[in-house]
Amino acid sequence: MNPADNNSVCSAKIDASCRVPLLALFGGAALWLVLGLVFAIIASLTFHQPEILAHCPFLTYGHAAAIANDLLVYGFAIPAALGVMLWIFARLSQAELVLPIVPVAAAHFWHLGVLVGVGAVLTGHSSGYTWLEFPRASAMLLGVAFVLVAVSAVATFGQRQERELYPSHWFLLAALLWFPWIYSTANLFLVTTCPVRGVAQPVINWWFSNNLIFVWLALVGLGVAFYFLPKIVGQPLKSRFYALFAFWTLIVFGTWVGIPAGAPVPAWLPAISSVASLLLVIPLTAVAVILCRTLCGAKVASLGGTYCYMRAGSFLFLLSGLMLCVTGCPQISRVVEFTWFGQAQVQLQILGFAALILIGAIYDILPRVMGTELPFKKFVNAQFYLSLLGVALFVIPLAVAGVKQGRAGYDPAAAKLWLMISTTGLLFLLLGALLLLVNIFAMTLKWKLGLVKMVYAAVTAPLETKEVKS
Amino acid sequence: MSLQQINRASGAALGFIIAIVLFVAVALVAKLSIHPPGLDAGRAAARSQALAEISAVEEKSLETAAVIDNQRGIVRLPIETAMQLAAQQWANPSAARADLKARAEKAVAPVKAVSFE
Repeated sequence: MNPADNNSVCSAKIDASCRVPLLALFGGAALWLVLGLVFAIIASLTFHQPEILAHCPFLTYGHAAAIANDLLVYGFAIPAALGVMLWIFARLSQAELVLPIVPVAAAHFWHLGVLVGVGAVLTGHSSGYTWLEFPRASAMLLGVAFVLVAVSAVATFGQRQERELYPSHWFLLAALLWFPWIYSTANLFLVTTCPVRGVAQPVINWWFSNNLIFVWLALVGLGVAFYFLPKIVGQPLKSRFYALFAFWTLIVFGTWVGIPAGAPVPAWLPAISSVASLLLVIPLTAVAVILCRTLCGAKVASLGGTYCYMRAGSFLFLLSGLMLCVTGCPQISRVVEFTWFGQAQVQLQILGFAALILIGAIYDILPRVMGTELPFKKFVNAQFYLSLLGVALFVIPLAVAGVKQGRAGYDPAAAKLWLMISTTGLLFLLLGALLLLVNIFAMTLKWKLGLVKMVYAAVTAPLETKEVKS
Repeated sequence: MSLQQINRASGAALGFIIAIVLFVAVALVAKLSIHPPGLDAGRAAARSQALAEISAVEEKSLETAAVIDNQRGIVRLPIETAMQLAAQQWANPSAARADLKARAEKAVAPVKAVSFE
């Protein structure tokens, strides 16, 4: 057996060790993504078709919008990211996944936590804090599940063959530590029987929201992109030092952002936040340089495959980061703060950047771990174009609506037409998400049928005569 | 998996768990070390102080003797003393009635203007 065969056998073993955990994480994530987009459409419809579902108290805007956001982040982005991270750590370590049963159990805990949280918000038991709507019981389940998956990922990382760390390692390990830190801190200070009081509440909530949506998703998305892009284009990331610089500047400046300039808090808080927003230009420039130098001259067919997802996702991260940067500018923030512009940036970060990169990674990983082709290969390209169109039709109208609203003195009528267009964007995104769901579920079904057939064949196989004792 | 790999894997997992426990512990210490006064603590203290002042004034008026209006002959007596005096006086009802009438007239009579010249 030559080294190449040995390597491919090893990779096949590594992929097989990730199969069940990844199916549990990705299957649930795809389902929550579809449901999240359905709730997002319901929430969006309330602005121009308020009579639809008006008789249903469970589906008021307050419920639907909160559930949509939570499902997109806690339901889809985090479990999908955890699955991708498990696989990347196993591959980079050239070792099989450690304790594979733990992430399987954790995935079920996670999805149960999301289900409990959604039920609580639907029945009006939301905590009332943005991005922390799930009640304590649900938050406990999510926290424990995350740590369990992370333990498996870190243990796999610990037994790596090569001791050198790659840029993906830095970003993904930081993400594994980041979420438990921010989530436990925010829940301990806000979602308890005795929360902190007064002005500290919104400040902690803004800190958490920004760290979850901007910093955590950026760590995960860039970590995944920095793994896949060099592999696809067939050249190393250029350069490691730029990546190190981007990593530290993102962590140093990104954590301070999030407090609106006009927030009714001590003036130094929004001032620091605005300065940090402007300083985000530094990590964004570093990421842009890395992408340009790595991708320029790459001879890869751009036909909607994983490469396209990664490239488009990375570009949308730069765009989302720039939108966050400009809100730090007082002249601009005076117009756009507390308008739809902020939502446009958040949704671009989730559905444009994180979702595209994670879906691209899922489409690349799934055939490897299952050892078979995707059931509907054409869906990959179709979903890419649907998602791109959906993001454009969803985010651009929201941003325009925000600017118009800000210029018209927060007149809600100024945004109505643009909100209607953004609902169309959500429909395209939902269509794309359905394609992902169909692919994953068809693949899971095929695998389970294969297992059943194998067990049936083993049970019904005739015994060899030499094994029969008279 | 070799022993070295097992050691490295368990070491990394243990390190991660310790880091998470430290995060949570720091957040817990920060949370528990902050003891802001209750939302209604100041208001409750002011109300109980006012109640104590009112009670003290009422207790004083019920338990002590004092001259209220010297010219009209109005005095304040402790309840016990007043009850004993009333019981003694009303042993002779006609005299008590006459005394009551005289005191009532004195109490409502116009007060003589005091001249400082």
